[in-house]
Amino acid sequence: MKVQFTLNGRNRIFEVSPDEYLLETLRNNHITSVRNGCDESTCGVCTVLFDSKPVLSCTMLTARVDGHHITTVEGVQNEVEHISHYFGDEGADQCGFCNVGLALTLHALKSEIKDPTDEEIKTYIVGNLCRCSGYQAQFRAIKRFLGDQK
Amino acid sequence: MRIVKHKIPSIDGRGIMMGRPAYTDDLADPNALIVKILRSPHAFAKIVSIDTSKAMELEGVELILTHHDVPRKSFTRAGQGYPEPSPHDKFILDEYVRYVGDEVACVAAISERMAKKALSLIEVKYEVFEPVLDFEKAYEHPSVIHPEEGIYEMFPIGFEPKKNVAASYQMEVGNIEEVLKSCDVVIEESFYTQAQAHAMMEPHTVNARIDFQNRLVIYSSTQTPFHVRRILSQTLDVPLSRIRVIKPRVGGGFGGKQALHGEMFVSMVTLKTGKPSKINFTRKEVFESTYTRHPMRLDMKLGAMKDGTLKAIDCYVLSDTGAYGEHALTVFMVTGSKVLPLYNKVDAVRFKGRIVYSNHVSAGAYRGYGAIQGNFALESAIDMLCAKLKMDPILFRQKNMILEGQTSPIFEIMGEGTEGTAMIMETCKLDFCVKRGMELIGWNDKYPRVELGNSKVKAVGMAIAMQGSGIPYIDMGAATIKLNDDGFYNLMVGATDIGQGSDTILAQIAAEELMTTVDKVIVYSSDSDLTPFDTGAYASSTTYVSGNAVLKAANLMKNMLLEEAARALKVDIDDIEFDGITFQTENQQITLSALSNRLTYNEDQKQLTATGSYVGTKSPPPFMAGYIEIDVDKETGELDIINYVSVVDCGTPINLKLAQGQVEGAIVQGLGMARFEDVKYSSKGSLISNGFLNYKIPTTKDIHKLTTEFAESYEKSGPFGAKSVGEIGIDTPPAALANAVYNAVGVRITELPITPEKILKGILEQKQKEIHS
Amino acid sequence: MEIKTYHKATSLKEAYQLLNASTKNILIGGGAWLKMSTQSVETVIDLNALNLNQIIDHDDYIEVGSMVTLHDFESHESIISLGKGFLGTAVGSIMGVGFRNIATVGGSIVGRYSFSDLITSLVTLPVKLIFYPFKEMPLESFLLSKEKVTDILTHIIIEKRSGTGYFKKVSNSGLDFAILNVAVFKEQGQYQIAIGSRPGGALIAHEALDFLNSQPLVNDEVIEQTANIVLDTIKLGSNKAASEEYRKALAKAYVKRGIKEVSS
Repeated sequence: MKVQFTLNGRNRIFEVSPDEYLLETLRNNHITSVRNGCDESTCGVCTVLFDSKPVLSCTMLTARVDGHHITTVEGVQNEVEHISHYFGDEGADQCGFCNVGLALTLHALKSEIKDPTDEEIKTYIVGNLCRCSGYQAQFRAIKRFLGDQK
Repeated sequence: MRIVKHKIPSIDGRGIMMGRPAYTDDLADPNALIVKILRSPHAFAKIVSIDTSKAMELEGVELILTHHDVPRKSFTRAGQGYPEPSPHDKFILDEYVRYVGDEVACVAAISERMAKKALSLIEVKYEVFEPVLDFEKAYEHPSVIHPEEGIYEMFPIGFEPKKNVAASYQMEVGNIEEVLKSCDVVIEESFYTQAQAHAMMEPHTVNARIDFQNRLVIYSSTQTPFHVRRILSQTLDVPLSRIRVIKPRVGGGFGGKQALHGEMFVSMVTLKTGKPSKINFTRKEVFESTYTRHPMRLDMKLGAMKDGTLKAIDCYVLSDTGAYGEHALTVFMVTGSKVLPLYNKVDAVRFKGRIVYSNHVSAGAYRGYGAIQGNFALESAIDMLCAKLKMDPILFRQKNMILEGQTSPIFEIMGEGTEGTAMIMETCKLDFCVKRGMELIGWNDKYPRVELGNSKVKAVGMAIAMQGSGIPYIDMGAATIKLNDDGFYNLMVGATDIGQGSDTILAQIAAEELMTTVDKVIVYSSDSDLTPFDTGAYASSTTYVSGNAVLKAANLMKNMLLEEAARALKVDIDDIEFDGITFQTENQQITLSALSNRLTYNEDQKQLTATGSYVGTKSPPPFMAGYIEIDVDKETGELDIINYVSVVDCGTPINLKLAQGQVEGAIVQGLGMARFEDVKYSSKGSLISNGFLNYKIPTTKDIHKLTTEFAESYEKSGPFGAKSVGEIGIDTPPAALANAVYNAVGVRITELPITPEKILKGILEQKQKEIHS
Repeated sequence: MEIKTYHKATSLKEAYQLLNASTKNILIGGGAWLKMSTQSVETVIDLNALNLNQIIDHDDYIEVGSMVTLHDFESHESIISLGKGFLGTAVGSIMGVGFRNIATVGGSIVGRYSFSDLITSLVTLPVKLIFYPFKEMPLESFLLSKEKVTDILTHIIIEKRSGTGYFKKVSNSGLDFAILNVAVFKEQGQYQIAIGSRPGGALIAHEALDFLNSQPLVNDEVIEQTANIVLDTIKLGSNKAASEEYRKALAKAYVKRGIKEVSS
């Protein structure tokens, strides 16, 4: 079936199977920044923005996306580069595999919650698992990033 | 130092976060055949017949391999130096399947859907055997897991497959029985540690292609590209010169990628079809069909005198290596060699045991590599001994633990699979680490516990730990530095960055020595054609071994540059001052940039390259003291971790932030093993905890505060004084937590993980005891 | 899950006809749990064009469309102000925000998931489910009925109550399923208590409430007694996450704490 949606601001049409997930569609079309971490919607690595909201691309059927807007890091390069400064400064970017999904989640958090508490930040990003960093350096980077937004 | 011991952002974090193709599957050939593996539903069985005809009829299925179609040559998947201390007990595909998830057949098709369909059409008849699912019953069990011919040990490791023994070992210093008899106080306890999963965020993946020189090119998410190349060559009988292995960015390894996973299959498929192929492990396959930590039972006996002098340590270990023996002996040995020397002044110490096969997921390398298991047992037992002696656990440790300038006979006796290397602790800041940790956690105000009211109690616990820095006389690393026009360098290293930041810190070491900046040192790593050799990212070897190689190469390059500058300026080499940018004499100067352009295009043209290799002659251990503060709910057994303090002696931390990240990441991984990570098998031997829904790793909500400090320490034999920091952080959390729980509620938990249910059960049992007494 | 056709319904009537045309046709909410299924279905019916994703605040009740995502639900002011935010706490503890922007309130309820934090908290409030074609059912009745759902859940009606709610999810880690869920709601001296993830689905502790709500004074003794009745009348069991004994200890502790907290 044909599915049409904007991908990073460009109108695109894809030929997909009804049971194909967005993650598969994106990777098959050279968006290699969106990656697979698990099978069960549990790790957050594959996060993309669906109408500016963070969603698990492995859990969203591509057919569902018809008529909507999808953003990956390729579509918000300046914003993500800005976030990467904070992560680099805190040494929070180890293997990097979770960073792309986390950056998009942060980008959404920034717009959705003004002045979030520590608890609110953690609740928002808890679905982005990380095995390398122990979360502390990430959290320090995120607090400074959000703090500098004010 | 201008670059080393500073916090420099990693050289690759930004590009990765911005989404550049970097990881193995990002670089796969877009036309790659999809390889999928048919996996055994039985824990132990023999394939009586296997019919792939229906599957082969499917359009789009290119190739199916069964045990009839692959070379009959045993190997070990373990990524270790050759000859490997792991038994060669694996065939590419075998007629026996030895765990639920073991490989039965390999399918290559044009799409994932086709490959999955093909799997479902393969008809297999099994003869099912009684599996060995309790490792304590594995020894001489009637089910022999490796009855086949053609398997062997590379050198004596105690390999007795007919008894289900992969390896065994024993050593004794002094007369343990005699010394124990003479002790005032003896404690004896058995501890159980579980088969922790690495749970790195990037599932295992590898792809293969034939290039235009007709060579097999492998891109693998691996920690040991050079070992992969050798093992492929030896097993598939392809000349080493025809194979190239490249390691792209790796999304975490922690030991789980220190062994072959899919490389044999994509190699065979690509060699047979001539087409590119790839395999992406599902998360379920990562849990079920790669590797785990070795679960162990550790029987500890400690003997001490009334005055708190520790006299004897007797440790028997039974380790479960699962279906295959990768890393069996070496993990086992580290359980002793990187734990027991902590108490170096004992009169007698014995360490013995065996590693058995079972029909569980194969166990392999995992950060800590035995030291975390040994640490849990020993450091828990030490606190138990202190309780019996009625002695403060910190005072006891300060009295008995190893200090700078001291040694232990164990270093000489126990290596990794072979004999060890004697060494004096040139740097050991354990005394500082212990004292400083006490301050940071507020030990004196909190030990042992503080009642908080509302049925909650606060407590603290601690443990000390050591690890190693590479394997002496075995691990070799090398680096080549190439000068470019315009005065920047390429640094080619075999060293394997798996996310720990080795590319960055090796660039820092080179930049420090060459007096330049990190942006002028372009790193390329882990390509068996283009970079020099390195054993790989394990044994905490990268900073110490590969770092020393980089230092040597940089030093050589610096001297070459001085020679060329002298030639260009027509002066003596001694008359030149070099600050990294300019070569200066009394009345002349030439910039590095100008010199390099001259050497490339104009005069005395030559390509300057310098290669340095390094093999360690010792393995100076990093040390740490770990302190935990917990609040326990006595009604439910639940606990909150309020703070975890780590004071680490890793020599010079090359990059302060990255070193801190290594410690913190390891602490959290250790806390996961201590608290949540519960491995569960069904009664038939299939892994229930085979996804993140059922196997929980720590989330950002589970960690409140981590406090990390580094001791001032300079290890002369290390590059700019560095030792290592990759593994040390993982060792202390299980024992520190167990000790804190005991301090909180008087319950001693000896089996990991330490769950709220176990804590509550212990509290209730205690109440029962009090009622009855 | 294998899917032959994906159909975006243009009306409830069309969706209903398609749903009942074959047992192999299914509705999806967000489709968040589809990956867990190895079923093979004919047609998946998408309801996203039917304007069922609104939360409307009426005077006496809140009308929640069945296609409202969990995250939109937990973030809505009307929901946050209900019972001092205990519904938001409950829903906010489900997986991560990337999941909750896909999963829907309707999907979570129709699934009757035993571990559902949403269901356990919601069932302590007066909640009515509206199905197409015309059918209304209290949430508790729906949970207790074992019938297969052949109608389309369109709205969830939550009567506004001015009380205080309490929700506790006991789990080992921040992203885990509940070992036990306990919800308590109190309004003007009348309590509601629900226990979920027992491991079975959410149940209201009627016998315990009959006792508690008839007491003139709610003191420690009464609270202790209430908790004991809960243990006697609400079945708790064992599974690989926890044993029955442990669940009993948790239920007792948190029912007591819940009652105390909403009473203060």
